Amino acid sequence: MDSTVKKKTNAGADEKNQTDSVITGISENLLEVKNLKTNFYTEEGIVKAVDGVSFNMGRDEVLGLVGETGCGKSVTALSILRLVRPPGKILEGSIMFDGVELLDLTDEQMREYRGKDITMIFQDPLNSLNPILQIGRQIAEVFLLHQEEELKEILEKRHLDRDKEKQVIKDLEEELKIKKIRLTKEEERELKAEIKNLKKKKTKKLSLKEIAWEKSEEIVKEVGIADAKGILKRYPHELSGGMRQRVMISMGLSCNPKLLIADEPTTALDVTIQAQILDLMKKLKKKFMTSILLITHDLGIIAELCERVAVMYSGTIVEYAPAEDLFKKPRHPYTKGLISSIPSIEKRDQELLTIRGMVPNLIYPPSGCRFHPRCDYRLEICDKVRPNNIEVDDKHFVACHLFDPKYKNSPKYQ
Amino acid sequence: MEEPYEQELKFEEVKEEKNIVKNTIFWIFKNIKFLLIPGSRLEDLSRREFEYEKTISKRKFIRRLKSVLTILGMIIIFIIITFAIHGAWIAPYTREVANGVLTGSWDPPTPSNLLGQTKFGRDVLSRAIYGAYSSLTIALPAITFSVIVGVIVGMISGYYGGWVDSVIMRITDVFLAFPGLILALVFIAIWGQHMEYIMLAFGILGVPYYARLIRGSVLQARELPYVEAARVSGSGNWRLMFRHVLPNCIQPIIISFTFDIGGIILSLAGLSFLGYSDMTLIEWGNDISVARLHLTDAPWSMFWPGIMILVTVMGFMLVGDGLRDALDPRMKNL
Repeated sequence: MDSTVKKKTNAGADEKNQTDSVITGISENLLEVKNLKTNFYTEEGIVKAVDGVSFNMGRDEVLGLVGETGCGKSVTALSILRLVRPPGKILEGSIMFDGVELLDLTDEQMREYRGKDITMIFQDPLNSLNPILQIGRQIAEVFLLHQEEELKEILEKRHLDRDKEKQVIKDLEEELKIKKIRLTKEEERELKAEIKNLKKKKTKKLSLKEIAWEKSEEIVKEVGIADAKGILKRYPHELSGGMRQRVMISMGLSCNPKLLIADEPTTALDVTIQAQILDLMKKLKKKFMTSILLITHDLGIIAELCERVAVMYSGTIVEYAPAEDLFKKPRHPYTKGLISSIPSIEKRDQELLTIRGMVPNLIYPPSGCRFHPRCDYRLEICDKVRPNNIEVDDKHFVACHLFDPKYKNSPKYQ
Repeated sequence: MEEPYEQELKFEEVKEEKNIVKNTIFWIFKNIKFLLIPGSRLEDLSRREFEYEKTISKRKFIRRLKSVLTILGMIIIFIIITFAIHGAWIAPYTREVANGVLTGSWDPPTPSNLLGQTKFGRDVLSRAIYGAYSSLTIALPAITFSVIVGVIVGMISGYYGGWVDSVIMRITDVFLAFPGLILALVFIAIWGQHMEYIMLAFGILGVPYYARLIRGSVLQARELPYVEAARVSGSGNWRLMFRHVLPNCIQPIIISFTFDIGGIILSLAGLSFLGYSDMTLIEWGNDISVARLHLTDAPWSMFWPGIMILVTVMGFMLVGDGLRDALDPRMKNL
């Protein structure tokens, strides 16, 4: 694993980073996001959509990113792909992917990563496919973009096979010519029939495109679509939502990426299809060893799929823990509020708990801890100092003053 | 009881054998529609194949073009193009004779000059047929030029946005501020009255129009999720522009392409009528301009070129209308 990392590093800065990571023992991480800040410069002011987000992702791991609408989940994902459009801009921070700093790459180099090493599935499968191109063409395009050399190798192999077949036919024909006088009529007839058969079996001359289509067919079969060949010739409007999301997933997985970012992959689908898609993602994750960054606001999906969870609130990560820990022992007041606000059939007679207050304005975010205006356990220090990440348990980080030994004696806010 | 039944069977067999030729002919006639009419299918297809064929045939573009007026327009265009290409075979006189100096100016129709004679005794029928050639050879390259340049310029302007967009749009504003015919007159006054320059003038005049048209749809299309999805899968800017965005905004361009061929033929005729075109050309507007002084004593010399202009423009407009209905069904009832 280290050797691959070494290959891709070239500059001195990267080397330093690498040695750092070796010392701290996190070189196994596929993705390391550190202090990422993304701002949108709008007419009303600067929207700090992502404000100092840091997290790590291991190889072959599913990380869930939960949060309310507008808390910066999707912007974080787009920042990793460097697809934030103006007026948005990545201000500072570092995104190390497999030992390479993505923010230092040129646009050309970044394009190589998109689709090949990092891919993304969008929340709206209904509109994420080009309506006027056949499904097969869209999937084949990914292969042609990123795996042209491999495709060419296959093509050459096929052409060699074809040449061999041709040679066999030629030999037989020559044999027929030479032996014509000596052969009996029946033997001659047999030989002719053989040649005819071989000619019938002869494979057609293939182009690069057709090979890409063949590969697309394989990958489409992988996501559980039975009639793969038929589907490839269809247009997106002829498929159902679940089918389209499957196609999107197959497009994402076509180049065997290391990281798959799934931005609310099941939001636009109904519950039965949701379950199918989640099962599919689980299965494919096992098969392709892909890490998945799952962005969602549905805690149920997190519980189903994720190993670790990062809870986002207003552009920052407030709690970051293994999934089981988080659901059993939520530490941050916001996480507590989130989990207790899940409707439960056992508490039918009770009123549903909610978090009071409103989502903060991202142009003028609250000072100090961003959750303090809505927090029930607020300390006096909360609106003055920004909380640090504190490891309260094994791999369980919380950004809250309640768990900081420094502020243990801070009085409660009245 | 059994014997008559067997006899009947035998009789039928004989009958069938006799009708083999008839049956094959009948079969051919029964099945020829599968080749000619889109949407028809062979009956021995499996169910899945049948469904597939059905969806394919629903997509058949030609199916939606079937309306009387559109077909009429197509026939007209076909005839005009035939005149332009094979004019020398159809017209009674050669091009040189039709454009030469002969006896019998403004003579009424006779068997040798079916539609009469115009100035210098030139044959009206021949000139009406040869006129198609100059109209089409000016209109088609001009419109193609403006579509290609306009689409590329508008595409870049809409896709990149920002200052590129502002600069390009201000330039188009400048062009659009002048009335088209006046600007064409200016260009021709500067460059001279040659066919190529008239072509170029009309081509340049169309560019800002098409640039605006496509910019609007590109602005809309570039924000769509599938463009973002294509970008995520690693497509470059040019691939995104011409593979994913352009095909989704090309429909209004196709429609106005056909409409504008008619428009350009019309303004070309207008330009010639004002006397600003190449007078050595055989051209309908020229003919009308020359014959307008003799409206009372030789109406035929002005009438037939006018009819030709009318019919040609109408043909292109009808096809444009049909195309619009086929490509953009929402606009059908407007």
